[in-house]
Amino acid sequence: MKFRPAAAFVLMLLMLVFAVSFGAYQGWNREKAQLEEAEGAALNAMLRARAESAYNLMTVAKRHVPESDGDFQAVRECRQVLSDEKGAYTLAQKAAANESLTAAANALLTKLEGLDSVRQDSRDLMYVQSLLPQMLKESNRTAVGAAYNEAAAHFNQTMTGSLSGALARRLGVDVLPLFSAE
Amino acid sequence: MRRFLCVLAAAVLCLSLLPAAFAEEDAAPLLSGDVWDMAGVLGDTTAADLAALNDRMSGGRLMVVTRHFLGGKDAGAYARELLDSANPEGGAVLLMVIGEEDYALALGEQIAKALPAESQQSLLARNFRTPYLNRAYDEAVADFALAFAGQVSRARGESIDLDGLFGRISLSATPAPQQWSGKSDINAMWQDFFGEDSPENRTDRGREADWEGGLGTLIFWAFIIYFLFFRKRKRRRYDFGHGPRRRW
Repeated sequence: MKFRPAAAFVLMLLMLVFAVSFGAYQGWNREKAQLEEAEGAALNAMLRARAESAYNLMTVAKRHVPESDGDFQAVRECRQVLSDEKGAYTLAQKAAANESLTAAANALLTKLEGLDSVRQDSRDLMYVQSLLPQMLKESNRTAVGAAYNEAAAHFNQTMTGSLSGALARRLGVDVLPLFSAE
Repeated sequence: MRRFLCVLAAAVLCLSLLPAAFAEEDAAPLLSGDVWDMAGVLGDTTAADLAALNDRMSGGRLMVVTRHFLGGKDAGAYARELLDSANPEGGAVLLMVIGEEDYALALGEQIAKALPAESQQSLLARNFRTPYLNRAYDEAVADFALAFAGQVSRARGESIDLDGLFGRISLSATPAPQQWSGKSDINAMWQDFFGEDSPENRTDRGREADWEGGLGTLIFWAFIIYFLFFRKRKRRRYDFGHGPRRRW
């Protein structure tokens, strides 16, 4: 077989391009997966806890107000977004629902506290005045969201600022979405 | 000497991994003891009497768990999880979800043979439901525990002495605590509220897992380096005698 330097050079170049592209894709993809596993898991745990808190509030509220109540509906809508695990809602939508839940839950708690049926029920009054507000407050771990955002922003900045990152983006490794309502 | 040091270093590295490797297995079971009163609605005598009852029962223990809420989880499935974490064979878990006014019973295989599904339902309906919904939680547990022990023992053809148990139970309703007793430990509070670790602890565990993975890689590369540079190479003798080197 006749040795052709030009063909060998092209072949070598192609192999080099493939190796660099494959390395960039693998490396950035792995780093993204690791970040999603570590910080994303904590964020998901927080969102799950928020959804559970909303459910608990709804459970108590159902005993005293009709489900058609406006404040009840607002809490239910927030819970629906927060409890999504199938990717039906974006992270921005979840962040917005997380913010809205605080106001909606406070409105419903205030309404419940003023009801005679709640005031006459020592157990539910304790839930409305003490346990549920504490639960909602504890579930809203702003530090977890901030830690995720910081890690995601650092990842995005590093990836977009490097040649291998740009290559990985062309090959389908996307930047991480931020946990922000905007 | 060099070889000895390499082996020693590898041994130290492996030993340092042992605690991390067994950390998950050493974790305490989710449920231990006869009463796990997370909602704080049961009296001390109920716990003591339940422990005494369990000591008199042969081949099974009834465990009682109270929670304020389950956050949307199914009570039956949650009771089953608790049972699996404690005594999946011969145990039984009675779960009381106070804030949701719900309850569930999960039985291990051995007790389920003595108490089939329809008997469980009628037992709960007759000896638990009414005092439970009336918020007489101690009374509900007492009624159910006595009936449960009697029925299981009868089904097994055994006799059980129930005298003196739950005798001091007050039949008045137990008032719900007026204030939730807050906890200083954030993780314990999360365990109370959501039945799982706080997100921060979750992240730490993830980091520990990364660290363990990193050590695995380190060991792998340590062995590679050892084989490449430190392992004594066998002397291959290609030359025999003093003649010119052979080449094939």
